[in-house]
Amino acid sequence: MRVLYFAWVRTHLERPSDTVQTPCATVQDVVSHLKSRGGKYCEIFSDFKGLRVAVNQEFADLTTTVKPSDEIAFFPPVTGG
Amino acid sequence: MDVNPHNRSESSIRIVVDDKDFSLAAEVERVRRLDVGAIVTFVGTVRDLGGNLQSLFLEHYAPMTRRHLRRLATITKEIYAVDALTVYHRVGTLYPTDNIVLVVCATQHRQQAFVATQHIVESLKTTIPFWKREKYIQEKTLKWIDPPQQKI
Repeated sequence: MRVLYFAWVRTHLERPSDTVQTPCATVQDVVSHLKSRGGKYCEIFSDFKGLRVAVNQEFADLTTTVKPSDEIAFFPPVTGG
Repeated sequence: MDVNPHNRSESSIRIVVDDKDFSLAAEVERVRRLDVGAIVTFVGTVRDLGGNLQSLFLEHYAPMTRRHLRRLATITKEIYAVDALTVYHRVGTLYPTDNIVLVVCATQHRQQAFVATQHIVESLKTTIPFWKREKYIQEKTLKWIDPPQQKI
């Protein structure tokens, strides 16, 4: 599945996206996988409280189910307007 | 400017996300029509209280932004009986005093236009995937802005 990063998640990881091949059933599984990559991934995904997630461009949460064709995005709370 | 008062089927929701600036006057003319008696506009601009802001960078998640702006506009139009509604949000690098966002609501009577505009502006701040990063003059540093505490 395609994983996208925005705002400080993107700048901290120094990349806009990743491809995850590991089977994941829920957003929580994606987070656990990313955390297991260590380094900055571990720093960012160890504490999910400051993060928001969207699955296929809809706001989601850790329990949301995912499939390989999904687009998952991680980002901080929005600050538009 | 020409107004075609009979063309009510023309799409009455206009969503723009662009790095280019908007013309307030032109956007007001777009929503002018016979059955409209009130046009409320909100313009959000880049603020620099301390004189230390070099620029403001606005990032967004393009397909999600478009989808959610359209949904917000459609729901607002229905709830507040809005005849025509425009949301124009800028992205990219902006400078102090630049325009960031424009909301235009045109309704038959003024009350709906005020509340509809406020509803859009408040929702923009909490439900649409935009993020701001400030660049400072003195420290030459970059800082992603945290969402403000809930305030009315």
